[in-house]
Amino acid sequence: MVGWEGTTTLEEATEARIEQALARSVTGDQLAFAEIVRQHQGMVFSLAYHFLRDRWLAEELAQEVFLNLHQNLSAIQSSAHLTFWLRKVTAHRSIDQTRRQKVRPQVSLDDVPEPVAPHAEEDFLMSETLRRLVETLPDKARMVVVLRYQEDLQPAEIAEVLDMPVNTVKSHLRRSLAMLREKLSRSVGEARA
Amino acid sequence: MSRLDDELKVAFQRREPSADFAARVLARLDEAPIALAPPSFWQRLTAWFAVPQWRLATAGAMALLLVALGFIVLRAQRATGVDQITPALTAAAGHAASRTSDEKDGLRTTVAPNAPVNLTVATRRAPAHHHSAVVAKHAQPSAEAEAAKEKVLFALQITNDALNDVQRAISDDHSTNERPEPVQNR
Repeated sequence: MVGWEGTTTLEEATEARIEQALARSVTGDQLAFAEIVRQHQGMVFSLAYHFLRDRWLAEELAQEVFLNLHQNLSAIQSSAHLTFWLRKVTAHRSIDQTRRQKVRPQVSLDDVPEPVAPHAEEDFLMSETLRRLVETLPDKARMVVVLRYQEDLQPAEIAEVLDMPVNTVKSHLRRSLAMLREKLSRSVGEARA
Repeated sequence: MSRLDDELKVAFQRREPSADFAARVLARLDEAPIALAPPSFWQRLTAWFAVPQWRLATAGAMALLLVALGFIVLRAQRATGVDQITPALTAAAGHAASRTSDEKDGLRTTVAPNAPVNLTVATRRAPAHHHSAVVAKHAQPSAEAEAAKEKVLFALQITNDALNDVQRAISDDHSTNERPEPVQNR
């Protein structure tokens, strides 16, 4: 969002407020820390939820991320650094959580209900279908897709968050999208038949 | 962007957690203040040593230090031993030299009892004895002192040799003077 010269955009105002909250949080101001939590809870929770597909687990994980943030407030340099730090910690903890569980839901395309309802419900079902298909991807590929489409990050930014080469990120994206297209086209073909 | 990308963006839109999420985070902060306290110096030191690689590195460094110290001590002891041996050897060399020159001078003494060599020998003998006495007194002379002593002894020996040559020359002259004139053949 680009503002006129001399005026402060909404994003800039939010960033300034977060910078002030950060500075106050380091001194032990809990209200300031609560504001930081409220500003970023949606991002952290959504990353964990879209990856783990369990609301309760996602909230627990998100709480741990913010507790960890409270211990490392002095290391946070800016609002942008805070966002990067939260994404990185959430992504890595989510992947670790999946590995601890060692059980990943395997959803076959046959179990997914076919879209037969009107447009709004079709969009909802399409979204749910896509989420379930992404859920079947390997851990790293799944997190790449979530970061790409939830946070709208570029492959280079995803590579920084996940400590992964850029080409690996691109490869994950390419293969994941190819798999999704194939499965969706198969489901549409079956629906028409 | 393709339709699939648009659908994926819709499917993965951000969601909000429960309404009291922030409150629950703050409550957990209040519940566990000790756990959030920074580790103490000893805890950090212990954690540092807990890493096997650092533990091995520290043990290796300490072992090297001990070996180095052992070498230094050994060298110091050897140097002290050399310092103790050197004066004894020097004294023995001095004794041998003085005895040899005494024997030579003893023969010449009968020819020229008033020659200054005796005095010189006596004088020269005294330094050797004096030197051995001094050496006996000093338990661990320094290397520099020993080197100086050796130089002095060496100089004295040279002097003694020179004096012996002079004495020999003088005794040769005397013997030449006392020799009867050769009988002239007529």
